[in-house]
Amino acid sequence: MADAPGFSCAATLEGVRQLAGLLQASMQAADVPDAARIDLELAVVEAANNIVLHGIGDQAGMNIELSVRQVPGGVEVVLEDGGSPIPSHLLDVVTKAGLEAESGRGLELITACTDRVDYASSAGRNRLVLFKALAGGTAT
Amino acid sequence: MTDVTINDDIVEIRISDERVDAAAAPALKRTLDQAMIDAPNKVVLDLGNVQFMDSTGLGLFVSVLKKLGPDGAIAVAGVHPAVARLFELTRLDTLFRLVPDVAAARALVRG
Repeated sequence: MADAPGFSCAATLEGVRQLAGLLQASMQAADVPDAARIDLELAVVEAANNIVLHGIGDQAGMNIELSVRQVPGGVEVVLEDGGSPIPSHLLDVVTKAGLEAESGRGLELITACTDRVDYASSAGRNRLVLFKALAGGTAT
Repeated sequence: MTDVTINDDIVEIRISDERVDAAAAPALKRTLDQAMIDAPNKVVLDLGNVQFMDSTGLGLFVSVLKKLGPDGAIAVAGVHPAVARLFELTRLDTLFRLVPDVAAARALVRG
């Protein structure tokens, strides 16, 4: 899977849909297996929803940038934004929502759908890196 | 778009959209809230057209489930793999009964 060009979309819930479509197209073109595509789309949508709803809020004119690339052992998806960062305590221990909870499952799903999550915030930019291992190491 | 019908003692909710996500949630929430007013507590949820659902969408159906009470029942028909994966990851496949089609869902909620 060659490195795909980066995408940028408006940091809105409609923009998240656009981002998901671009991600899917990129992964389908690279023959990423169905199971990994399903997990990565869910992880990216949950992460992007959190950026829009909690990081960006009412700020207009903000974007989310996404890139997808092959790395040793799997696929790496990077999301970048300029909103408020995720509070570190939420990332230190990701808790599972109760069965009857109507919200609060985003981080749980992001970690469940990926094999590694890295997050950094610096100089007003947030960078979330999601790694998904692929059987055999690479997309075929 | 969401179609809601009541057949005998069962509320049948058919989601026509391919994505049940945070963008779709506000309109869908209004529809579901309206549909469940004075409705029977047996629900068939037809997700046969839904290709993708996120946790916001799922939360709306948890809300429906919680309205049904202890004697209620809900069955989910026709889930696609991405939607089934969401139910599995959240362990909500233990509360929502996933079945292949609407006929099976009707039979299940009728007991």
